[in-house]
Amino acid sequence: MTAQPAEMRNVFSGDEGDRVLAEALFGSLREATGDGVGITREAYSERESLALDLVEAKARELGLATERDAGANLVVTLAGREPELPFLACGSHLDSVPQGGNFDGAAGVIAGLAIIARFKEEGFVPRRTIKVYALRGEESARFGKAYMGSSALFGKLSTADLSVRDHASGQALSECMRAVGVDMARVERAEPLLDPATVAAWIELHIEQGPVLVARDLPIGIVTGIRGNIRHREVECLGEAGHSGAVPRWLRRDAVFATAELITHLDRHWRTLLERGRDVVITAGVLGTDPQEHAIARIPGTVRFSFEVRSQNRETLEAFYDLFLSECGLVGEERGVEFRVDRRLESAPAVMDAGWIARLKAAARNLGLPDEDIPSGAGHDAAVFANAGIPSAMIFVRNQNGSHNPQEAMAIDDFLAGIAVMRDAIREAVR
Amino acid sequence: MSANETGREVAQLLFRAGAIHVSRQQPFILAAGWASPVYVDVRLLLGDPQLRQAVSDLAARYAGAAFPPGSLDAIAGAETAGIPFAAWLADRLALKLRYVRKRPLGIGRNAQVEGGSVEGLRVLLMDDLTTDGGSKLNFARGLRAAGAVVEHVLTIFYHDAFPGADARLREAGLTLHALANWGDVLRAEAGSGLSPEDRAEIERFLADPVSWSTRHGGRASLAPRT
Repeated sequence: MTAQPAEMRNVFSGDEGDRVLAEALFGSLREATGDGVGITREAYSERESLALDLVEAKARELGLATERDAGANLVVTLAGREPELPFLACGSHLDSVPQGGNFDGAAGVIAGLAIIARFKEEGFVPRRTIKVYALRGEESARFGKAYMGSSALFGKLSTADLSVRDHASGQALSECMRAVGVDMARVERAEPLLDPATVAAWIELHIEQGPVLVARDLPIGIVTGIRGNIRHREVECLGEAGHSGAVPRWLRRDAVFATAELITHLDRHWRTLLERGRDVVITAGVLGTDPQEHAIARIPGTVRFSFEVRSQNRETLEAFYDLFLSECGLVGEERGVEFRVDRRLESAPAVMDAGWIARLKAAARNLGLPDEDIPSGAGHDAAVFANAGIPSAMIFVRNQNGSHNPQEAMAIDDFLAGIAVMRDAIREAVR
Repeated sequence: MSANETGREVAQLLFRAGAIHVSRQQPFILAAGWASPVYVDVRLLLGDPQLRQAVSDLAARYAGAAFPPGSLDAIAGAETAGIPFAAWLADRLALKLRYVRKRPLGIGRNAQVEGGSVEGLRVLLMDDLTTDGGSKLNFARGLRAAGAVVEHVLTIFYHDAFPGADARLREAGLTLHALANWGDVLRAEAGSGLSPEDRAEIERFLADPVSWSTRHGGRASLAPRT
């Protein structure tokens, strides 16, 4: 296939069959699970089940075999010539955040379905079996815990995880899982519902949810890894309150200036690490003085803030975290304040499989599409699969207006480009 | 050239550069909160080619005598004004040059040092001004963390009024070498730019700098923390 000229790269007409399937399924999902403003199909809820039913019905319509696994996820299977070999898994999650978008998760499920539907239509029987998963429970919005569906597959949900309650209804995660048909006996025993050795790969298409592909004018990106993180929900800077007019600089222990200085130093370190080629982002998303103590003429004695560092590389995470603690000490000394951190929370980074990254890039190039790298800042089920030892890969599709909001958008042509790349890469791997 | 002669020459250069400031009423608040009637901006020696050549020659002569050939591998300039002075000295002595940041930047042992490795090198730390010695400790720490052997600090001017600097540095295994101090400024010839009132205020200050500081709204004693 000849490379398309540069101007054409951003308009991928793709495949009429894919387009029709995508429009039909996104349409019926929006109709069934729209809430008037955005999309609501919360983890382990009736509307999530409804979404699974819709996708299952379409799969059956296309003549594909469907079933529900022990985790109550939907699995659509295209049998291979050698079904005893480890199968290739693909798909994504079908739940959403409240009042979210229609594409977050659903795009990956529909992509998987489109791919095996085409194979069936072509009469292409892969060597390995291919299974498309519509996973439940990826979003943390309902229970505070993310990737519940994929974690349950690998026996990774703890008793503490299962007892977490939904704020609105007060129901525990375990109750909600039981209600939709999850095999709780096994999940509660932390028994894997899926043997990683039986899975050859996990390939997931997902919207980027960030601004980079739009900024770089790329319809798709091949994901190199999923950023892990280290977090503190609350760091306290303790100085000394005082009268803003009466205290000279050398006697001040100003919590605001100290925190501002800490953050400025961390920002310098961040720029330096980026210059040296490391992948890292840091954020203080929650920050403030105590409104009860607010006064213009008062030197603030206390500031509370959150801190998070994310990176694809574990070593970078730990190194930056050390810098953070070290700066808390240095700035604390210089400014006469104390920085107190709460419990350290963390999430492991996940590396995507080099072989699959190469395959996806080659497929993109052969279709005349760009083959650029992109890290995943947001977490995905693919991280759970990767950390279970399954070679995993993700392809991002450009999307507008971010994610987790009703304005979340994705151009159908970009989606078709993503499907085409994923299909060709998979076809090559399971020939 | 004796220490006194070097001191007098440097003091005269500082006067020529307009670097010596006296304020009898509104005090200068220096590092760590000390109030002082005098402030010396050594950086003004950078601007004029004649002045900087002269002070660099003096520094080179001093260093040549104080540090026998082969006893030093590198000069490290302290960020920021120490850097150009260190560069000119390194040139004259044909030694390696490095510079030290005020704080580490990024990760690794060399996070505070720029210009190359200092692993195993005998390094002379150079700065334009020393007041209470705190910043020199910090620079030396950064160099030592990167593997340098640091035993000497050379400063163009030592604002030697306040207590503790010498002792602090000695405790950290550092010897402070100063080209000039306030005594040199006062011993500089009459007509050098100090009015009799200014001179008197400086002398009052130098006689008991801690009391002067206390009376003028500054620190009254050495801070408990470094």
